[in-house]
Amino acid sequence: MPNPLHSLPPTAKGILAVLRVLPRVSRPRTALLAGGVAVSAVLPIGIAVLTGLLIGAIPGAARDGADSAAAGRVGTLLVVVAIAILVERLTSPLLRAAVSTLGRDVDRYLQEVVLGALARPRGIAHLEAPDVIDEVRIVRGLGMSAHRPGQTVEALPEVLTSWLRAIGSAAVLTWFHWWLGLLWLVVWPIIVYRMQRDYLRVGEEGFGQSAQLRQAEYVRDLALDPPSAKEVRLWGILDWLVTRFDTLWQAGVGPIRRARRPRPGMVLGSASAILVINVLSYGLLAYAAVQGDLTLAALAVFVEALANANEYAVGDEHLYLSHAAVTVPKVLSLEKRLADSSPPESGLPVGADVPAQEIRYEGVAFRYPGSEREVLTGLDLVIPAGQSLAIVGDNGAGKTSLVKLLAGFYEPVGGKITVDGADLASLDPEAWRRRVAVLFQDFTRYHLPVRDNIGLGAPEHAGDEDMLRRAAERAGIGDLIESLPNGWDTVLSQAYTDGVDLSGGQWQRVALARAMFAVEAGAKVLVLDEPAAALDVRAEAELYERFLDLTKGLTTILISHRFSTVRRADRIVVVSDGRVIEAGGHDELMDLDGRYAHLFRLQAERFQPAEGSDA
Amino acid sequence: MRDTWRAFVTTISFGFRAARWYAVFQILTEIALALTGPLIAYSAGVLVDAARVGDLNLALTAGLGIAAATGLLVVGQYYNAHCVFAVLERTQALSDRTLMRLLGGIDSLAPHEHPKYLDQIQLLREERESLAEMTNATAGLISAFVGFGATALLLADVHPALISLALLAFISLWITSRANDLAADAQEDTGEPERLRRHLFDIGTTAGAGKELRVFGLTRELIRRHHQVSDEVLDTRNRAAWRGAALKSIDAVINAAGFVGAIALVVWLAVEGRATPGDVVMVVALTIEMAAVVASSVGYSGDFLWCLKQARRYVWLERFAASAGKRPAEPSAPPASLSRGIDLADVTYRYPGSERTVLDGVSLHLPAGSVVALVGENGAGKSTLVKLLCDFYEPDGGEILVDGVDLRRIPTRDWRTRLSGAFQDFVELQLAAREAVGVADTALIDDDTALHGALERAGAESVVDGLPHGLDTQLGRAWDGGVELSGGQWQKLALARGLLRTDPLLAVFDEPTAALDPQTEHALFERFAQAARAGKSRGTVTLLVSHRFSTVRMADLIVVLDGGRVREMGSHEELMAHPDLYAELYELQSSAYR
Repeated sequence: MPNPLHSLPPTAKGILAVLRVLPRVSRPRTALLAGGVAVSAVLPIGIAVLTGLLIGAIPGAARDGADSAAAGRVGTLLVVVAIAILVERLTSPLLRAAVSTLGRDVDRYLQEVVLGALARPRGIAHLEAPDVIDEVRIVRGLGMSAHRPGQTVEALPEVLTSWLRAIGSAAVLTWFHWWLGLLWLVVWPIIVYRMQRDYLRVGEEGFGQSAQLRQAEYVRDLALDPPSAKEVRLWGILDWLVTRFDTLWQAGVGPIRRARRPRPGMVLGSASAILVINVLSYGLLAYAAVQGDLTLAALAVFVEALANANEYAVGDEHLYLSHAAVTVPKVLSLEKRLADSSPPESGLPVGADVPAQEIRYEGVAFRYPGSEREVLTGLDLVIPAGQSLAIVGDNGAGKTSLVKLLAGFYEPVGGKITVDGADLASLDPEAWRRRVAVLFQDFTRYHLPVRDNIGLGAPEHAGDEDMLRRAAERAGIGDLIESLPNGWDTVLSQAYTDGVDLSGGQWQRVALARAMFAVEAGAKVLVLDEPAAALDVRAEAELYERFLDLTKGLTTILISHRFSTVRRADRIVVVSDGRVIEAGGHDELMDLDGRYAHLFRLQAERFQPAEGSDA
Repeated sequence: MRDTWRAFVTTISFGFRAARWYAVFQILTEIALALTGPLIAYSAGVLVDAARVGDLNLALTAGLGIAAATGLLVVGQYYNAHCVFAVLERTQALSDRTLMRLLGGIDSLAPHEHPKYLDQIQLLREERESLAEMTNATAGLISAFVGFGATALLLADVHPALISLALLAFISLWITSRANDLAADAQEDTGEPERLRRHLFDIGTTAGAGKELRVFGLTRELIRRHHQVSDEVLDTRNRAAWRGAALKSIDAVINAAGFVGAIALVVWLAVEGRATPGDVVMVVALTIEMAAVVASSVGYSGDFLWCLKQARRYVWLERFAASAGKRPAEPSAPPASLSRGIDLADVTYRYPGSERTVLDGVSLHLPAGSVVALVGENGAGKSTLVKLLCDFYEPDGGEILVDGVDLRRIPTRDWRTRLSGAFQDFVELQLAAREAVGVADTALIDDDTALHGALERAGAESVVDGLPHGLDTQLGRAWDGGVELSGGQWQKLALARGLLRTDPLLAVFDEPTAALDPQTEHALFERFAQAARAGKSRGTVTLLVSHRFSTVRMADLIVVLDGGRVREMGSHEELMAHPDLYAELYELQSSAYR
């Protein structure tokens, strides 16, 4: 069935999209907005009519004296006007507060729509899609353009009120000449529609340039952000970055500016239309009044009405509105679009003891979305439950990709992964992930108290103090936490009052504690991706001494270049060019004298007493 | 006061420097637009009076005048809106660029460790749009004053007492600025929760964090927390808005009383025959105009004060930046080559605002042409020492001598042209691959031979070979057509960057291989040794920080730091011969390979 809304002009659709969000954010304030807009639109017309009548009564009162009925009528009208003015004045601050709070709430609502939509797909490919990132930038509210959707809400009373008032005033003019009022009611919407359509073009152009501007922002932030501060100075690339920023920014903003530049035809067209209809109206009015066809009261009313009818759609509020008309519907549809492209979320339940037998990769092939290179090319691998497996291989050999597939972030393009015989793709993803704990190489540093940084490993158990302590002990950071200024409640970021920054090694162990917390909560598979990368000698030694204890009873996957830890695993596989080329225990592989043995010796030899390999 | 003036001049000049003609035109059109309201009100009065006395010519002139003013108003609004946005955009770019130069131009890293500086930067960056809005706020204020003046004059012309309406405007200004203060205070009070909200939003929208959110089942928890913390922000800010509205409704009552009084006065005058009905029409229109003018001048003065606040912050930063650099009294160029080496004499350093001495009387000789390894446990002061050598900080005590010349005398930027290196916390530069390597010497960005040389030295040829467009491939999956690299591959590019410059006096490698595979690391350090030998004539000092003793042992000189002091120094054999910390750590690590 065709939706009649689809035939509306895009700006109207955008405004409707924003309007539909409002009651979801707050019904009372939406009602207040509606009431406020109605009052602010109608009252001025009423006041115009009343003052017109008031003015019309003046000559009579002047003639009859202060005690006459005509003077009494002036007094009554004055009181009514006074009340109307008071109500109108009082509406304004209320309406403004309502929309400024609504605007903020709408921004938050849209942010959460985005968060919710992004959280839905089981994978992470969509988080890396440039078009999605561009849309996220719009609601983040920190972009280079300051057009937050909330600003549109703030512009609404301004725009809606003036439009309603204009239409109402045009209607008043039908009392003068019915055809003149009708002419206004026809010409006015056409002018406004054309003006809005022009702005919409600007909004669309602005949206299309989001990617370009994002790139300019990236370059700018390289010069401003602390993480890149060292290298920017070491290489002395500030000038280069500034030039780059300028180029990218020009390229991004140029088309927007060109689109926004008023087109003389458009300006002249609408200005002449407005001029003609006004000349006609005022001319007729002046003529009729001078001829005596109009009373003084009627003249005053129509003059006021004409002033109110001259409200169109130019100015910054209308530009904000056109931006929102482009972006809000896109943001709102993000959830649907992402849901369409991701498989249904339900699946087979996963028992508490899974995996009880094994995890098996069968001929698994994989390439990242949008890339042509196969990272995994028919990989076969069996990981027996309750054992530890170490994966070694060159950079870019596909080690981390293997883990990402196991966690269900991506689907293999060929072959399958099974857990106790069941296809991973058929399992309920949430239930499966409750069985898996991962220490990622690029773990997240939450600007939250230590307690949460660890407790987020299993949010449903976050309040369990004993569990927190056990996880911290297993990761070897119990003492560190006690030594922090506010102990467990210390926020781990200097950007907050009493917050503290940790060193890389300390952070890595906090992330390990998070993974161990998930294990405490029932995860049976533990993945450690380069767990010692940031650790010093003692901490690393501690980790591998503790390795057996850490992994007891778990199915462990360890990715590491440090053979001191790797050799402690029950089984080791060497991955090269996306497939397993060797597998076995440390001793077995050393006996095999293949790639693993070569790599191990390479590291071990360098600890042997010097044999002329003096540098 | 002088500061405030300077802050104003600095930021308003952003607008005029960025878009001079647009800014001028914006102010002119705004003044013209501000005059159309009073003009139309005046003409409406004339029209009514002319009609009453039957003067057709005057009535038509007034009517056509209004029509023409209305048409021109629309034209003016079109171009004005265009100018406003053009000025805003360009000014924003200029202020971004100025901030880049200002912050990026501070040679020292010390401010980055300074909480006060960090706070100011944070606030300035969050409100950087305000720097761009000074022109807009000023133009708005000027036009509001013009509109105010014209309206007041016309009112005074009807009856002098009506000028008191203008006085009411000052009450409005005062009340509304109180309301604005409430809003500004609420914004400052919620700075931290808002920062946390943005952090959580970023976590919920980036791929890296997305992995953890999914594995640990945190997506709903994240949204819950985002909601919770934004509640805190919104509650405070919205409450301030409602309290502001309460204040403003007092103002509304006062104003309504004023307007009604004005209308009553002019009606009374008209009844008395001392004013015409046209005057009443005009006064009514003018009261409406007055309300609009006062509202906009109040709004713009709020914006203006807010911009001024950010502008003062900017001026503070400008001063801070100017005082941060070192200005040697007798500058000395870095030597073309090192003959003696680099010496540290009793060097002491403590981070600003911290009480712990990180380096405590360190004296060292780094011989020209040698490979020196720096070892020690986390927190021993290794990275700080490296940063002092790169002139990121100045020592609090003692001195660093480059072939006998105090490093304080060598201008920072000159010294840095002769440095090279790679760090554990390297940057993943999401640019074209050739840029990600070539930034180490921007003159070489288009020099494929030089770039491939560096890639080869870093063992990173394979990384670029795997890219669809080779050196011209955009890195980072967040960009259209961009390719993502693994942690180790990013690190290899960082190393290639560190090996692009061929004539450094000092090369520092601060744990640059944590994510690398053993054979790369192996090959890499062979090359370091080679390069050091090749650079012997230039006297390049290669300083290596590492936890991997298999690598450390091949250095010419090993320095063991412990608690900010030099604990041991010597070759591997010497240090092993006198068992202390080095021998202990070495044993600890090597035992794992036996």
